Amino acid sequence: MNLPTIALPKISTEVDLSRWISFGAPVGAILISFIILLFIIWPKFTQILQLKSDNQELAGRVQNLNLKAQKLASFDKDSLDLQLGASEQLLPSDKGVFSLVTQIERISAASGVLLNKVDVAPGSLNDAGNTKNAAAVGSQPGGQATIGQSIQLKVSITGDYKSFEQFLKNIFSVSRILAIKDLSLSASTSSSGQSSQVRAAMTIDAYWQPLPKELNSIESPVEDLTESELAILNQVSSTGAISTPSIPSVPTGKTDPFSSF
Amino acid sequence: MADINLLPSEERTAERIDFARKKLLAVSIVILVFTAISTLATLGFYTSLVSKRSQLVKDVQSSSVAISDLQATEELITVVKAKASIADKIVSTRSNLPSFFSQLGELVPQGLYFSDFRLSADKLVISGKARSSADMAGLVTAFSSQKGAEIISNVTIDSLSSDESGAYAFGVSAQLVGK
Repeated sequence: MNLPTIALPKISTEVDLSRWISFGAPVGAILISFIILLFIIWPKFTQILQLKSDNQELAGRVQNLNLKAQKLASFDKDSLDLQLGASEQLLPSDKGVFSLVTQIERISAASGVLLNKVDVAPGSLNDAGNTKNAAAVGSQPGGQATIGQSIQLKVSITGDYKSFEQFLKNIFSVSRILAIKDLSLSASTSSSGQSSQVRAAMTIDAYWQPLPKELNSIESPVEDLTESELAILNQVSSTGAISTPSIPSVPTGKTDPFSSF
Repeated sequence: MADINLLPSEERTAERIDFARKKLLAVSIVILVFTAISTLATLGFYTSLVSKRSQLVKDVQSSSVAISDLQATEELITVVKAKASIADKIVSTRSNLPSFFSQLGELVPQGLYFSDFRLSADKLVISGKARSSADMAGLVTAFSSQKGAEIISNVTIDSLSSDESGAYAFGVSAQLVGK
């Protein structure tokens, strides 16, 4: 049997190929979209998150700085000067040894007690950081808190009890912050036997505070004075004792510095 | 009964591929539009944040300049605050001795006197003489009273001895109370 042979053209493969090629454009578009999302949008998104937190922090800083600037502008310069004078009276910026000794002498004279002895070892007069009791606010090994820096005077007085009480009152009414640490009293009856004399020895801590060498960070807030701090400053201001107690001037010039006075 | 599909199989395949191509095209357009919008939105938001940041930096600088102009005031308030704060702490912790002695005087019986008085680190040691045991009892009672408790606590009688005249020599220690 002879079957006819017809040569059919091979067109199905080309049709298939052209059909699959038409998928190229959308697939390419999707790929490009993913590339954009991955390499442009995602990094920018993380940068945006970082920027947002940075901006929040900056906004906070701006707010704090503005508040600080407003607060600083609201202070009355004259009132601050007065408060500075009062605070300087409370805690002088230097040890003020001689003004203190002068004050003690005056207080003794005014109280009617006899000042037997004043013993002080002030150390360096200028070096703020080289003092024995240099401690801003710390604690001693014994556990007792120390506040501020102080010089110690050992004072010995004699007088009647009323005068001693007056001496104490006068010591505590001095504008400079003084504290009596150790006190010993011994009574001795006078030769007439009528009135008793009191011999007192005490250690007086005279506090001082050097000026700060540098300001805090510009962003640190301005701390308000508490009511008790204001009360202390007003108390000193109200007494009118703003000026530092003067040390009496003495004539100078001696041909023989070794001759006795 | 099964459907009779008279379309040739090549044509049916071509239709399915065409349908898939159209679907893919639609999806790709949606993704492209989404990408374009999100790119624009992201870049726009980023630009606005950058400009806001530069504005904030300028604000920080201007506020810093304003504070620097008020540096003298800041120095004053810093010094005043530092000194007043320390002064307040010292005043609040120091013993008010004038008040203590004033209150102590009110507690001591008349037939009794102190010969020695030592105060060190809030520890108080007193020695003296009482005319009689009643005067000594009066002192102890006064120290133990509410008024006495305001100035001293932990009162201890360290020694008590009488002589031939009936007077009592005593030693008392106590703790100073706060201010």
